[in-house]
Amino acid sequence: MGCRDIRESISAFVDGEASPGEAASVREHLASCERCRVLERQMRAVGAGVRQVRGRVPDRFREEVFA
Amino acid sequence: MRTDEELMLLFREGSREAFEELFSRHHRAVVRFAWRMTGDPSAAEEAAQEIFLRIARAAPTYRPTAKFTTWMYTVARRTTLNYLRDTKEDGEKVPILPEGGGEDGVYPVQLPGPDDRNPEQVVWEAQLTERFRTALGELPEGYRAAFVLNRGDGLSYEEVAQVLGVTVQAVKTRIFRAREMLLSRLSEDLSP
Repeated sequence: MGCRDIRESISAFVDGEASPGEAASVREHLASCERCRVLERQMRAVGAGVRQVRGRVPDRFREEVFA
Repeated sequence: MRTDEELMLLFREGSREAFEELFSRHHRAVVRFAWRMTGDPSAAEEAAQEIFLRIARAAPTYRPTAKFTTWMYTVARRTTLNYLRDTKEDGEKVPILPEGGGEDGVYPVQLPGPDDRNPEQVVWEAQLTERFRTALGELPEGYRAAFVLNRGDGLSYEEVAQVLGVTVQAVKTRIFRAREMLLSRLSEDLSP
């Protein structure tokens, strides 16, 4: 499978959601493709980015909800 | 310890303490979700309050046919979507980023981290986080919701599919496209 075709599978693989067959294909591809290994790391990092966006609970939030 | 579903059933029977316990368990996640989806602190606060009000109003007819959190996020997503639609109707558009990735799928963006072997432990400085937050807000809502629910709130693809009312394949594609768009946007921001 070529790089363009496997990118969506790499995304699912990073999320632990690739099927066993799909995961095996991704591992096989990554073993021989430096570009896709870089992409895999970028996909993991950007996934972690969501957790950096936290916001904060407003001070009187509980009081407002239970008012 | 009672499960969320048991607490919701107790609340349905009139127990305020049960609802307070549900609130204690989940209010941070609800506020975070609303913040990630709206990108605006006052909108997030308003949406989060509305989410809990909707949960409370739904109590009389609540049936534990799915995990409480799956149902909660369904309510949360509909609430934030309504907010975003109302914002669009007021003239503020939610811009759509162009699709497509870097050449050969590699993006010219350095996401710094102390350890290349563990890119999930990236050190995110404030400026990059702010750029990421902006880029997240520019995703199409359906892509953003899928990505936030899975990567931010830890829902499986199957659970995200239930929340969004789409197939698991659709969730997989949306999350992939969200990643492509974010990497593309961050590449623009960070290129010289």
